[in-house]
Amino acid sequence: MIEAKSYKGINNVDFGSKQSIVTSVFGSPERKAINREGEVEFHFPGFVVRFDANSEDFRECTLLPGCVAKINEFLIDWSDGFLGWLASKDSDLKEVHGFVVSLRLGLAVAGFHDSDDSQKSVHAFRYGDWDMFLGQMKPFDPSI
Amino acid sequence: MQSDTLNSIDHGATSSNGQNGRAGAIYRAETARMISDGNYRGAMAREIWDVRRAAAERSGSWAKYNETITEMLEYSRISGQLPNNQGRVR
Repeated sequence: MIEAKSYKGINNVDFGSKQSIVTSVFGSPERKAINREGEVEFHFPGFVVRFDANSEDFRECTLLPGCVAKINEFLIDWSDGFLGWLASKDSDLKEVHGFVVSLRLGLAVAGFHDSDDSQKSVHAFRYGDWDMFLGQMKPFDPSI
Repeated sequence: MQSDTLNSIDHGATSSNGQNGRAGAIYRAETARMISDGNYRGAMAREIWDVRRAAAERSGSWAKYNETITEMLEYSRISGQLPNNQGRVR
């Protein structure tokens, strides 16, 4: 099980940790890749860990459908009801480029509000990682 | 290109897919900026290249969506989103 803590990390691996710490906790990834931003990605069953392109520090974890995971002790059930939980924890959700973002919880989610299973994912990120989009964010109303 | 025109396996490999996290959002932002700057043709070309790359990676066929892409381009021309002579060298 993956246990994510807002702006802290996953399973006691803090954001900012080196790759060696991640592999010491989760083992060797199934696959390694480099994304368009030049970030190293470790692909594990059900989740992906990404490292900052410059510092190479752990900065983002992507949880994929079916992954047994908790966020701040809440068990993700991968239903559309997840947005309801998110809204109950953050009354100031944002939407930007098709993602629903909770700056309060340090989460970005895709595929829930538009019922697109091929994009469904929950991203726990390092503090400040989505600030580049602050000027483009719009309020998100989960009731619509 | 709309996600419902791609199979989910190929869609998962596109640069704009939500499962790419912030990198996907950055890609979407770049595309949106190209469109707002009036470079609709460039944005569409980039999307087509990306879909073809994803299909090649996941399905082994660069040409898998050629028919869909042709239909999309035709619609874009008819609707006026993609002027016929934009960018041509005279």
